[in-house]
Amino acid sequence: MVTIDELTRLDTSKFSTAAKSWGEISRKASAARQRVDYEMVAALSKREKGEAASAALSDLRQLSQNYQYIHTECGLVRTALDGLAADLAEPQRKLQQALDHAEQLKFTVRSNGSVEFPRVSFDQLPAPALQQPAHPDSAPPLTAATDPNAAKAQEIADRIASALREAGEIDRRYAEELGKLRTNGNLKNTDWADVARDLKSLQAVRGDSAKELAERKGKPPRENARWWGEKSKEEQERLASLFPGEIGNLDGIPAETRDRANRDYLPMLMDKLREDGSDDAETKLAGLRGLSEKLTARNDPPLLLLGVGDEGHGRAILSYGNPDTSKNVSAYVPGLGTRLDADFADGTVARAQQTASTARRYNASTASVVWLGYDAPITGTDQGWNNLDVMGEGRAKKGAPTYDRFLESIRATNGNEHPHVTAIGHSYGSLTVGKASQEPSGIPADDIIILGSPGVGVDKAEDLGVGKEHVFVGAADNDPVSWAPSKRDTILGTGGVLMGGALGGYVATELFGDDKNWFGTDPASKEFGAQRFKVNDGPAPLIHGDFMPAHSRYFDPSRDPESAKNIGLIVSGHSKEITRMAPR
Amino acid sequence: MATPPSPSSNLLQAFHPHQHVTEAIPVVMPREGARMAIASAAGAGSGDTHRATSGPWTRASGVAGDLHRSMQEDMRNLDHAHEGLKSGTGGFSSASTLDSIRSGWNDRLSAVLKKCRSLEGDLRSVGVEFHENESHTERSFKK
Repeated sequence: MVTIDELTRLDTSKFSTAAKSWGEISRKASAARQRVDYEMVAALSKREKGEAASAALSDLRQLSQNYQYIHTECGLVRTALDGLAADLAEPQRKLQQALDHAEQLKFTVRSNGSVEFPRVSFDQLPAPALQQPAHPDSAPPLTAATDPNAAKAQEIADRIASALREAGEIDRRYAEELGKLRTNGNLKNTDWADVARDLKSLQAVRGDSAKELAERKGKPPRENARWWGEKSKEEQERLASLFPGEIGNLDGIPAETRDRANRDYLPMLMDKLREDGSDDAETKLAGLRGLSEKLTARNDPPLLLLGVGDEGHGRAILSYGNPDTSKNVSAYVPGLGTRLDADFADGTVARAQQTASTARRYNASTASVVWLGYDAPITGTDQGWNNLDVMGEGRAKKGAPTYDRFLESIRATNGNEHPHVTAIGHSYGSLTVGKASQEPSGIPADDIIILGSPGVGVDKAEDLGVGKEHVFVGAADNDPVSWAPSKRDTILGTGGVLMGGALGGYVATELFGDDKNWFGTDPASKEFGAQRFKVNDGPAPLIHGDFMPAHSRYFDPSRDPESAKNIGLIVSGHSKEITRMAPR
Repeated sequence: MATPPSPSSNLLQAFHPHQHVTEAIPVVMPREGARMAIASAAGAGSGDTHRATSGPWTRASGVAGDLHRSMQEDMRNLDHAHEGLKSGTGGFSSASTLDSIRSGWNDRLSAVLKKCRSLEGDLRSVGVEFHENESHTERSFKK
């Protein structure tokens, strides 16, 4: 238990000074990790092959892990010490006030906390007391109830005791937290499960911040941006180190901060999934491994991790280029069958890179995001071919407000006065974009690109709310998903014969069997009224053993250069220069 | 005269899989021309090798050197920030716990420091051995 003397003499700045130096170690370790990843690992793994290189790389990867570990854990020591200094200031202030009060009253505070006070003499007592019958031998004993000084002394003693108790409690709590942040000199030991536990335990001590962050999730991104901007740099750092998963995924937080927080969170999330070990966890883990590899490689434009999580089929938001500094930002919603897995980390993320590199040829100030912020419908043999999930609007509707929030977030943190934002929906993702446009406040995008769409849930381009001249459609004639119900008989007549076997059956019954499988008018039709840009027809289904080859080429400059170029032109703000094709 | 730090055996072992390498054995078997680079590296202490400043190994070695020096400074600052912690925090168990976790952290940071120092030497030696310039290095690896 802390004594009066100790709490009085306590110099909380000793803790703050120490906190600062741990914070500095944490900050520099993060910078060091980046240098190891980009200037050493990436540089050597790119060019160098052979055993010397792989031995060096394994050493360097371990070094990178250690810097990450030091960054996170020393950040927690910093946070604990800062919290300790701040929290102890309050009982110290209370104690000082009680001591000052005692001094004013000329009371004496003993080191054990008892308070001595001068007895009130009879002539100072209020009149009624003098009117008591006199007892010549002894005055009636003055109790706390009758001696006003006794009551004051008691109150001061209580305040002192309460301040000491509070300080003792704070001290005990933080000592416990600090005790968990032990380490040793073994570089092989970077136990992320342990780090995650440390984090969680310290988060509980800062329960007020946890609650505040939970509330922030539901607030408009602009408000969150303001809230964040008003915080001191130290407080921002503290929050980001203590709540990396929360800050990393919070709309309205600057992109670079989100990226750093998510990179801190990533090893902990991966470890959690590793421990889980279920098929679902393994699938997500494979995705995160792929992302992690991409994130530590040298990327041009730079790659930022704007969101990551294991909820549902997994979450991942990545941006090629900084969306806060870029004049043009696109956000692509993937569809049908997309989930956080190895394919996502590979092919789906590559589409954002393709968009960014093409668009940056026309305007270098461009960032392209891939947004897996919702559960897209899953297809595939494991789900059964008759999965109606694919065809329901539920997933799109559910994802719509979250996507709108993300677009709001881009606007809220973008430094340009009028950033140009393009929403891109591919496949089922275009329905999500369509649904996002039907939310009460509309979709906060300037242009919309619809690719390989089974319909967007509205019958007219103008219903998307950005003006029909800002709605662009890419629909390959050999992409079965892009065909509207009006054409299904035609397709069945030709493609249906072409597509035999189980896949053909699936396509025929699920895609073309029923009007209600489709989400409104074909966006490539004249009736819909959008701007149809030129794309390659693509190969016919199954000719190359691929289920729907023409469905997945729109972004790829090597397989459909014209489509990729048109997308790049629109995203970079040059939509007047696109090549067009006649609507269906 | 300063000598270049000796590469850890695993790295060189990997580079010379059939040759037994220990810390005590001279670290590199340079091709002709590389000897000069080593001499100049040794002469310059922890400085760059004159002949091999552009290759990825040498650049990586330079980064390891930066990180090594930066960690030295960070550890000094950390020590400095904890000087006199005891006065003004007497009676608080948090202060004694902080003191108790520092030795483990000191070990961890020292281990990283050492690793950076050994990498600085190892990477440079490999770079020197290759007498690296990018095309030459690539050729060496393609063999």
